[in-house]
Amino acid sequence: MSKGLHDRIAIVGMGCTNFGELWDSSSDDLAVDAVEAAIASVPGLNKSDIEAYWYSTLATGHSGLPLAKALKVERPVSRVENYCASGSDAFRNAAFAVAAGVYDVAMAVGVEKLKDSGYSGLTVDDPPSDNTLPEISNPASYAMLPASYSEHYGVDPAELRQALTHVAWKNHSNGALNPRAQYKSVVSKETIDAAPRVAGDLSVFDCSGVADGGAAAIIVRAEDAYKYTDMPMFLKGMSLHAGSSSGASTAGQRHVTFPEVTACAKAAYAEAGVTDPRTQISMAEVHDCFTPTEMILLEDLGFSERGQGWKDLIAGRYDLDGDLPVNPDGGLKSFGHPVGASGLRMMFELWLQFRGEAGARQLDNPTLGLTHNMGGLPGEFVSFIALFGAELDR
Amino acid sequence: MGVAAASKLPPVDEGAPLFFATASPPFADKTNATIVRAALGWDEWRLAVDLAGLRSGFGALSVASLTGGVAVMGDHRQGRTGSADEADGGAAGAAFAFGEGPDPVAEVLATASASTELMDVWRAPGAQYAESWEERFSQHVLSKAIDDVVAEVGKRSGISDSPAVVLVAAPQRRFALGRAKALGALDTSDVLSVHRSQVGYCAAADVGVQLARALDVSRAGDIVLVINAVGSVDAMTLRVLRDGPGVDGWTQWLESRRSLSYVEFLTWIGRLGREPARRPEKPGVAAPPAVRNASWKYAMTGGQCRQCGKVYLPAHRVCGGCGAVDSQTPYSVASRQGRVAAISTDAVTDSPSPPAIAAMVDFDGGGRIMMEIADSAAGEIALGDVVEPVFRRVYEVKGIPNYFWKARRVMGAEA
Repeated sequence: MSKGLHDRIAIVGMGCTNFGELWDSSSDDLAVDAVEAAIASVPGLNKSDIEAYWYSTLATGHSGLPLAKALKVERPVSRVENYCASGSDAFRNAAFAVAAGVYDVAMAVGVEKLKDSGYSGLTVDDPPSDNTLPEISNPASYAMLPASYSEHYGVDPAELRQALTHVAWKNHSNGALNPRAQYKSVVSKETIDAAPRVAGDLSVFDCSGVADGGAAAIIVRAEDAYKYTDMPMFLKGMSLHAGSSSGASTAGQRHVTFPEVTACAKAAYAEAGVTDPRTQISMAEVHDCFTPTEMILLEDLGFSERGQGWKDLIAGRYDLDGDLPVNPDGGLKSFGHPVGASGLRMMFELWLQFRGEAGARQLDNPTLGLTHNMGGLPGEFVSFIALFGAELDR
Repeated sequence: MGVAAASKLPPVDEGAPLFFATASPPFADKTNATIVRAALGWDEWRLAVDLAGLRSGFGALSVASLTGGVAVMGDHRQGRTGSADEADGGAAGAAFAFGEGPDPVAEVLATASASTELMDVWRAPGAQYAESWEERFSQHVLSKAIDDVVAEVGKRSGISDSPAVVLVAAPQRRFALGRAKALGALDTSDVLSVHRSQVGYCAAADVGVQLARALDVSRAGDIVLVINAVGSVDAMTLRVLRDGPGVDGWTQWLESRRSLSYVEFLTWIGRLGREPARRPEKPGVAAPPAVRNASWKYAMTGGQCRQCGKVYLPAHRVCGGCGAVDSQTPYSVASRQGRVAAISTDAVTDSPSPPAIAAMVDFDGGGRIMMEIADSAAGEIALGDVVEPVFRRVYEVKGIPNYFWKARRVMGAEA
C-alpha cells in the first residue's frame, strides 16, 4: 500500500483567532487575523512567499474571491466546502499540491461567520428538491444515538448519561484553560445533568455551540520544513472518506458506529503506521459536535473497545490527565463550530502541544496526535482523519 | 428626502439634537431619526428622536428652535385613487439647523399653539390612507383657532403689521390658500400657491418645505408667519436676516424631475403589484453586519490608505496598493461626485420600474463601487456621465426597507 503523504508534508506556521460571538469582526477580519498570525509565526516569511491558498468555508462566501479580496493577494485561491470537514479538506488539498511539487509554500485558511445569520444552530441552504425529507434539526439527528447505544450494548440510560455528561464536563473543563475558546467556564456535572433537554436526551451542554472563527496553516514539503522553523509538525497519515449514505437510505445500520469513520481510520492508520491507536497516539482532537458523537468516535477510532467507550470516559481515560487526552483544547464543545475553521483549529491544538505552547493544557511530551473532523448526519458522513508527529521517522 | 435636505445644512453644532418628523415612518418601535443621523455621517453622541403625525414637522421646528437642534422632516402624502389627498399630495423633505452660528438665515420671534383635540384627519395604525370628518366642520373649528393663535403669536412677537409671507400647512388646498389670503399676506411671490400647484401637501414636511421656499425668496427684514393647521393649530413668526437666493434653485430642481405615468407612479409607491422578476427574494438586512459596517452603509465612508493614498469602497483591512495592513482611515464619498465607468440596463433583476440601471461608479479622488442609478430611464444616462450619491430605500423585504445609496446623474454637469 502507498505510504501516501507520510512524512512528506509539514505545517510550519499556524494562526487561530479567538472563537465566539465575534460581533465586531467581519469574515474579512477573521481571515486577515488568522493569516497574519500564521505568517507572523514563521520568522522571515512574507505573505508574498505563499504561492497558493485553499479557503474553506461552508456559508461565509462563495469562490476563492472573498479570501483574495480580504488578503489582497493575486494568487490561486480555491474555495473548499465539504460540510463540517471543510477546514480539514482545505489542508488536505494544499498538502497534495505541495507534495506534488506544484508549490513550495501553500496555505489553508478556514473562516466561518455563523452568528450573523441570527439563527439558532447551523443552517445550510440546500439545492432545490422535492422536499420529501422532514426538517429535522442536527441536535435531533444526533439525539438518536444514545438510545440506540443503550439498547445495543445493554447500557442503562442513566449510566450512559454519566458518560455523556463526562464528555461535556471534560471538554468544558479543558476549554476553561484555553484563552481562544468560546466558552471558558468549568460547568459542573450537576448543572449539565439538570439542564433542560433540547432534543431527545441532549441539552445545550451536549451540543457544540455556534461561533465565528478563523484559522490558518502554512504547508511545505517535509524536507523543507526546518528552513522555516525548528519545530515543524509532520503529517504522518491522512484520510478522507465520504460515505455512500447507505446508513440513511437502506435498512440495517445501527446508530452505534459510524462506518465512514472506521473506514477513514483504517486508511489513515495504515498510512501513519499506527497499529495500536490506544497506545501509540498521544492525544486526539475529535469531532465532538454532540457528546454522543465523541463517545462513539472513541470506539470507531479504536481508542476504546466496542461497547466500552462510555466506561472509559467515566473512568477518566480521555481526560486531560488521562492516558489518551481527547479534545484537550476544549473541542467543539468549548470552541463552538465555525464550520470552515474547525478542522484547522483542531490541528492548531496539536501545533501548540508539540511546541510546548499549550499553557495550562500542556501535555507531557506528546509525539503523535490525531485530528478527526467530520460532516453530515448519522447515516451519511464525510470523515477526515490526520495524524501528525513532532519528528520525522528515523 | 430628509437626508437629502439635511445634507445641505452647514456644519451643525457637536451634540445638537436631531428631531425627525414624518407621518409615514418606515419603522415602528425602532427610531427612524437614527437612520437620518447615520446617513448624514453625524456622530451618535446626540439625541436623535422621531416625531410622529401630520403636526410633527412643526413640532420639530418648535423643539429644535428651543434647543439649538436640527429639525429634519421628510414625507409623502398618499390617498386613494381619485381622492383629494392623492391629487393634492406631494413628497419632499426639509431641514433646519437652529443655533448661534454665523450668517443666520432668520430668527424665530415667537411661537404659539392651540392644541385642540379635533378628529379632523386621522389614520388607524397600519392603515395606508387617512380618514377625515366632513371638512366644513373641521375648518370651522380650525379657522377660529387660527385667528386666536395668530393673535397670540402677534402679541408675543410684537409684530402687528401684516407679514410679508403667510404660509399655511393644511391638507385641504382651498382651505390653506383661503386662510392665508384672509390673514392678509403681502406675498408677491405666492410661495404657498406655487408650492401647492407644483409640489402639493407634503404631510408632516409641508410646513418645513413651505418655510424653506419662503426663505429662499424673502429679503432681509421680511416677516414670515408659518401656520400649521391640522388637528391643532400652531404658528411661528420669523424675521428674515438675509436676502434669499431667489426662486431659481427651486425652478431648476423641479424642472429636473422626471414625469412619471400614473401607472409608473402607482407602481413606485407600491400600490400596483407588478409580476415579480423570476428571481429569489432579495435578502433582508442582517443586523450584525449592518452595525459593523454602519459608517459605510449609511454614510458611504470607505477607507483611504495612510501610506499610499489608495481609496477603497468600503474600507479594506489590507491595502491592495501597498500591502499595508490596517492602514486605512475613514474616507466618505457621500458628498463627492463620480463618473460612470461602466453601465448597463438590467431587466433581469426585480425593480418597480424595469429595466433597472446598474453602473460602476468611479468617485472623484478614488474609490469605485457598483451602484443602481436613480431617477433616470434607460438612455438618459451614459458612460462618462457625472453622478452623485443619493440615499434611498433601495428595496424592501416584507415591508422592511433596506436603505443604501444610489447614484443620480448630476444635471448640467459636463460629461
